Amino acid sequence: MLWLCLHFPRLPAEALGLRDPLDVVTDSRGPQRWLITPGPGDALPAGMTLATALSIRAELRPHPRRPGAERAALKSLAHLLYRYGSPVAAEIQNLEETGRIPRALIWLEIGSSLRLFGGVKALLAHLQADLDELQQHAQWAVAPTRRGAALLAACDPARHIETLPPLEARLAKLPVTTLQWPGAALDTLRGMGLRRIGDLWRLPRAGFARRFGTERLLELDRLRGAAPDPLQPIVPPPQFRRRFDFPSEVEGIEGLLFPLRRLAFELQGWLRARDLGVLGLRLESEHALKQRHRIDLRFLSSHRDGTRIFEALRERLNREALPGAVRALNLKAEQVASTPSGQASLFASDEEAQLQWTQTVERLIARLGEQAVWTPAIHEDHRPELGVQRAGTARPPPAQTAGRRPPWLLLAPQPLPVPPAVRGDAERIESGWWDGADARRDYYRALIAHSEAWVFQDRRNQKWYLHGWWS
Amino acid sequence: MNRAAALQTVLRDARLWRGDSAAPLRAEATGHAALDAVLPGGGWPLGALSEILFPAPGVGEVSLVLPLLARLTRMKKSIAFVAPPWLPYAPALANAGIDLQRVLIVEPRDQIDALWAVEQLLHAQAGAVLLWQPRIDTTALRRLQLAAETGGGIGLLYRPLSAASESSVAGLRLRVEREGGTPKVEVLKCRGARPPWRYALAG
Repeated sequence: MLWLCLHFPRLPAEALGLRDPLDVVTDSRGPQRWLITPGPGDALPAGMTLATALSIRAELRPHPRRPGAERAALKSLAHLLYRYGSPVAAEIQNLEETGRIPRALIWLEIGSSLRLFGGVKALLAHLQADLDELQQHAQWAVAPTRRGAALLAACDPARHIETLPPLEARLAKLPVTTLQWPGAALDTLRGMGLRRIGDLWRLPRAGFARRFGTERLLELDRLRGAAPDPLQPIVPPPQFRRRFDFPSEVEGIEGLLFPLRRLAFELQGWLRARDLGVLGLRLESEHALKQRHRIDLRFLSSHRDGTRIFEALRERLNREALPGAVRALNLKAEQVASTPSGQASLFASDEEAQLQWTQTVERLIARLGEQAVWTPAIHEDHRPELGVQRAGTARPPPAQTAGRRPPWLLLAPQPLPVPPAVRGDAERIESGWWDGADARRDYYRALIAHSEAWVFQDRRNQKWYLHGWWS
Repeated sequence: MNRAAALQTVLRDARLWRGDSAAPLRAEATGHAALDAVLPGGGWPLGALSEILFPAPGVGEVSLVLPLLARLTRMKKSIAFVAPPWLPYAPALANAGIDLQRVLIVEPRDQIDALWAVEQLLHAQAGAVLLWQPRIDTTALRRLQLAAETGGGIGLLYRPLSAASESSVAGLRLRVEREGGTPKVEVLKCRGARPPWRYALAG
């Protein structure tokens, strides 16, 4: 087993959609409040009490942490990373003690996927690119034990250790304070003159278990692979449905874009993990007074491109009149389908041009509305105004109409005050007696001014109408 | 290489300027033989904006481009009608040989959206984009010309006859009128040759 562990030190802030380093997240216990994400610069590390931090930088904006949002964010990250290895596990290590910082961790077993990606370096490069797209800050470590990788990722990051002996040597040098143990236990260890993890491993096991409990002994064993370490694997859910709660109401589109981008790329990750493409989306925004605003988005071809999803959503939001400030966003994949394989084929210039066209049409639909962009198709009906329909994405049936037809049609025939000077023979069209839109007409070509018009005489009332132009 | 071929190679060189005859210009045939014969490059210039000026609907302004549109869709290129004044009638388009699946109709609310849509479509390498606008300013014309150059497609702008007096950056300007029932096309301006010519559109 080879575990890649990722530690997300800024997850409590990222889960709340906060990106400015001046926005810090705090945990509290009784009257105590302390930072769990670092402030700007080195002077404000996580773990510092809020009072001290504010005395150094008065302009800090503290936000209380929301464990629910953190768990949801970590879970969706785990889904996103699912394609790099399996099993995947996630955990927020949390100690209910003043001044302690939670550790948001994700583990991936990458031993079996290394050949697919071509080594740890290549895999990490791919993974980093994914995290960059999400603008997600992370620290990593690779080690043969899960706990060992976690400890390295949190306290001694960017290490790649493949076998147990060097891992043990590396961990032995770490101070005991890096363990997520209660302060009382750490104080006792300090009193006994035990400062490094290596010192603990050298203690008699029975005595250690009696003094600190078998749990702690087990943890030490797991660090160096001396005890099994079962885990609960995470599997992407069969449906994609994500919610983003804003810490405060957001006015305007600008503030929505960062979480929207994140949701779009989470969807991309979910689609990749399940080897699917998205065709339809629903974005729902929540407002004051339980108001909801729903946006349905349709793609012309199934795909799993986070940028394309994000841009379509942004274009659409720009045009949408939201009922007010936004409290939360919900994104749901309404329609998924398999995607055409070979997304990076060698001679794909034709396909690429087609894709570019499809994306442009989607952008047009997003800005102008679905009613304003369409592809015509022939509808088999003798009444000319019913002879055209919107094709949407379906394939129209091959059809040929009998007579010649003008390129321009007036959807509603326009009454002519005087009978026009008609030319040629009439084309008689009688249809629609079965559905109430009865039509009995004689169609002619006629010159009106210098233009050639398509006119008809309604045989029920003998009146003349203009119905098209022979352009 | 024989001499004739060598000469042709030299003549096709873009650095060679010949005062009178047509400069080598990439173009797509209009499908009307008499018109192709007089247009430099033998048709609608590719990667450029062309203007069609017409007094009223029904003078043959659409028939003029139908052969082009049919050929483009057969070449698997997409075409778009932006802000058409009436409904482009699908059976007529199909009868003209146009593959309807490659036709896009865009009905924007205002000129800003219309120009934006045309630019987007030209950038996406549309075969041809047809736009109807009664009034359009020079800046917008330049942007359309630029978009056509970028995408390499054909921009076709339909304008009223009154626009003939305004100057334009379009590479080709045609006037379509109906005289005695037959559509007549007049070349007002074309890049790389001297207008004007008049010729009758068959059908």
